[in-house]
Amino acid sequence: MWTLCNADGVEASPGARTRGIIGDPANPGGTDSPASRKNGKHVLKIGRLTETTLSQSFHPGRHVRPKKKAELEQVEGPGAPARHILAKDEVVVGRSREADVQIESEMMSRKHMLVRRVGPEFEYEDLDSKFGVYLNSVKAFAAVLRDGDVLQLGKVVFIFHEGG
Amino acid sequence: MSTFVRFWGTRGSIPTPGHKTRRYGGNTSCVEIRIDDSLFICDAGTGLRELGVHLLAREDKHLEAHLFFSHMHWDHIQGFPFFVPAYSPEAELHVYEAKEANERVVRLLQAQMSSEYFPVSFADLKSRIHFGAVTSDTSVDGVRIRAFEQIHPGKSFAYSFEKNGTKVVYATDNELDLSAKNRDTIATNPDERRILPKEFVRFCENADLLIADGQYTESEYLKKEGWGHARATTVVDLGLQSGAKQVAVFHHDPMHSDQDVEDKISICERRVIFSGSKMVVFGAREGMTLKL
Repeated sequence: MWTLCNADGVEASPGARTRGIIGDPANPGGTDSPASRKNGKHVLKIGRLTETTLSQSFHPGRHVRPKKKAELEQVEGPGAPARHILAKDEVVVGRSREADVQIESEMMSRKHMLVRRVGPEFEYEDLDSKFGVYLNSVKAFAAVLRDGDVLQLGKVVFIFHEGG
Repeated sequence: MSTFVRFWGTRGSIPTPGHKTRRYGGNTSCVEIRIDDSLFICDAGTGLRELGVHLLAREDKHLEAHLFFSHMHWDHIQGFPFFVPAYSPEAELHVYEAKEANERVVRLLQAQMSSEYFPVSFADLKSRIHFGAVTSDTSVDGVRIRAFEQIHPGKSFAYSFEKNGTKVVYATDNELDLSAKNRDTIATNPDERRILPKEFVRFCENADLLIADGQYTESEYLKKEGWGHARATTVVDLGLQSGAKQVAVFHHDPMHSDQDVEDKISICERRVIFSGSKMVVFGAREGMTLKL
């Protein structure tokens, strides 16, 4: 027979709400296990976990698995195919050695485009480049990026992947 | 001179948040036009809230904006009570309507903030708000502004903004199809080019960017004639006839997913290609900025 108790071994009152994780089923009654025997009964200690502490422990959004980082997949231009992970909050794409994503290509300005993280999203901005940035074939100065967007900078083409 | 246009809300009728509308956005009509140092805002749909937050973060203490209303249906005014600069004593707002609208804007902005609808009254807004009408010779900071009456239940107005040869036209909530001279033959042959009224074509003439209501596909329009919105393909014809460089199809249907919008735009692109023009046509997309 199984009885539910708190950490002090006090038996839960009939009908008490007892949600929670109750020990290691592979090692019931182990040294640190909340499961043990008391007066011939199997006891599951549920500690001091109340509804309040449970909801704090399992707050939505705190236990999200690490996500795959967003990236620019280069599908055209020198060096393609290549994947450029957007690991920093601001990534500059251009010909310059100072650019985070450096691509030596004609029609690419020294500092051509900035990709910036804004909260959970990424947006890009044309850094006043000579030939501009084309978003899905439309010349756009800036935009919030969405998964699968195609960015063309001269002869270099990227596909943006949101990650996750 | 510099002209930037940013879309803060591109959806028609009602906000449509959710994963199906992430690319084109779910906020209703709001477009920011920045010509040199002057800020013009077209419509106060729910996109205006985000613009307000953005402006407070980006602007100097003193903010001056010129706000134009196409008309006063919900999806064009709902953002106004949530426009944070309207609450700031440092902000100065110039609110415009077409002269023919007869002070409808003042009356309805105040009415939507009556206590039955909203907890803060219009009188409690701390910004300096001035009301004005667009006439044939309206000019703000060297930008010539004109209005044109459109076809929509209860009337709506298009606006054009022009300075030093750069022109932006904002023409939403306009059932352009009803004004086509060859309506009868279009009904049997949708591929036929729509012949649109010369006055409106002239109003839109040579726009660097024409932002126009193209809510429906061909088949949808047949079921919704008289609802006040146009077929996207008719907007393409307006762009072609007026010599627009770029057409942003605007006021996406709330039932349209991102894929639906893309399918609609593909049909528009094909129409442009068949015409032999190099005009650019695209779906207006929330969060997108163009430099003209």
